[in-house]
Amino acid sequence: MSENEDITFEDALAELEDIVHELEESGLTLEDALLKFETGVKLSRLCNKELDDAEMRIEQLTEGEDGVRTERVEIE
Amino acid sequence: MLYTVRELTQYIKHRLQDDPSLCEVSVRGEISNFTHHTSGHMYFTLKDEHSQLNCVMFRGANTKLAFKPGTGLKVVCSGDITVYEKRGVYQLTVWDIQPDGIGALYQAFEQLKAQLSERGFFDPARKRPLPLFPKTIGIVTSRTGAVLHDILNVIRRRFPAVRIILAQTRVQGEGAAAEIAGAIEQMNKLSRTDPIDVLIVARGGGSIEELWQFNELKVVEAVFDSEIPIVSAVGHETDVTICDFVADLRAPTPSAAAEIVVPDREQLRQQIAGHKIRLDHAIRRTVEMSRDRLARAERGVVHPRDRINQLRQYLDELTRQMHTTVTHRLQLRRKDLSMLGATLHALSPLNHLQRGYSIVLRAPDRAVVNTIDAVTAGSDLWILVTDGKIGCRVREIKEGWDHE
Repeated sequence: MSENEDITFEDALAELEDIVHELEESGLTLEDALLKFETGVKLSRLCNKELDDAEMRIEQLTEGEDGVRTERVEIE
Repeated sequence: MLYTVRELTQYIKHRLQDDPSLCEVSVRGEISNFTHHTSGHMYFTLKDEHSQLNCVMFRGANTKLAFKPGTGLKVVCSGDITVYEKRGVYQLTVWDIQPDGIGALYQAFEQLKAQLSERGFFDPARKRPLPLFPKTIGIVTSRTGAVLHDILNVIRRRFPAVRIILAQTRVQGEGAAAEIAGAIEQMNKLSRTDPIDVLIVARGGGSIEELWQFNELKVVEAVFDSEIPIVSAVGHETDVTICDFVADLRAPTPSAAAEIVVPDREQLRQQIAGHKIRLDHAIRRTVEMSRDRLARAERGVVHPRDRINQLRQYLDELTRQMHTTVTHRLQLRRKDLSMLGATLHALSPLNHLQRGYSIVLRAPDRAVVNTIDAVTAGSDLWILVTDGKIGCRVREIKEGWDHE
């Protein structure tokens, strides 16, 4: 996994899938397998976190002289 | 006051054309006496039960029309009142014609569809796939809450990890088409610096007239030109607009559009849980396999060549052993056999015959006779001797041996 914490949910899920496949193919050394496993666990935690604490953010489109912008709005 | 005809006509012309309430007017009526002149201009009369109005639509304006006007069609014409001096008549110089009423709308719809189809607006090859996990979703919809509320509810329930960019516009009535088209264009403009992954264009159900804005060329072209993939959800399931055809995907309702656009969180959770289980299994297996390998390694740390030589030697040894065993066994067998022969010889009845004994058999069943009970007087017997047999008949039977 890249050190980047900003990894998107999509990328994290894809990487998790890759790791599962790699581990299941079992061509890895024990050391590599353990490293991969650790990364996989981290990724699955990250994915779940992304799903859990996600709050929908709503912005309104406005057009001003300086072009198109957005501003935060609250809508129930 | 005395005028020339020209002077009076010009005066009337200026009076009419300078009157702001006769500029940019919209007039509802039915087309009659329609002619499309070879010059390209269109001439017709707009009429209702009480009055008539001469109309002209010049080529420059009428080539932009999305449908073909014709006699009998109910329409709304937009234009300016002008005066044609040569004939001293006032007329409506038409800039735009909108179909009015179901028949006209339906006809216009079919014509527009055919025309756009020819231009490749509905080409399936143009349809883009939607992103699996959109981070930013644009929504163009009405100001009134119901549709937006439905869409936001679905997104909140299924996958709230998104950013929503909202453009609320009018969705029916004059000018609505321009607002919708404008919103789509603005979304695209924003997306160039602040990417929007997918755009939902939605409107609640309504009559064909109410949904008509979504058949307007402006809207249709904005959807066609959009760099952001668009899901169109206009009206209910049975309502169809050109906007639906041009969009990358048509959703039957606004809520359905939301469901199509975002994945289901619960499903994803299960998927992740499944991956986690597989991870656990795989690592456990890997560890066990490593443990096995280690154990095997501990049993004998041997160089492969060495191992091969050892095997070879072992094989030789085995071969040798096998040879010895077989030979030995063979010799044993031979000995057994000769002993067996001796025993057999000793037991052979022939030996006894040689020594003067003989064997008596009952003739019919060849049973050995070793008691007087086995025969009766007159029984036929065979006596076996060394070189043959003698047939005889029992004459007399006596118990005990006589001393003669």
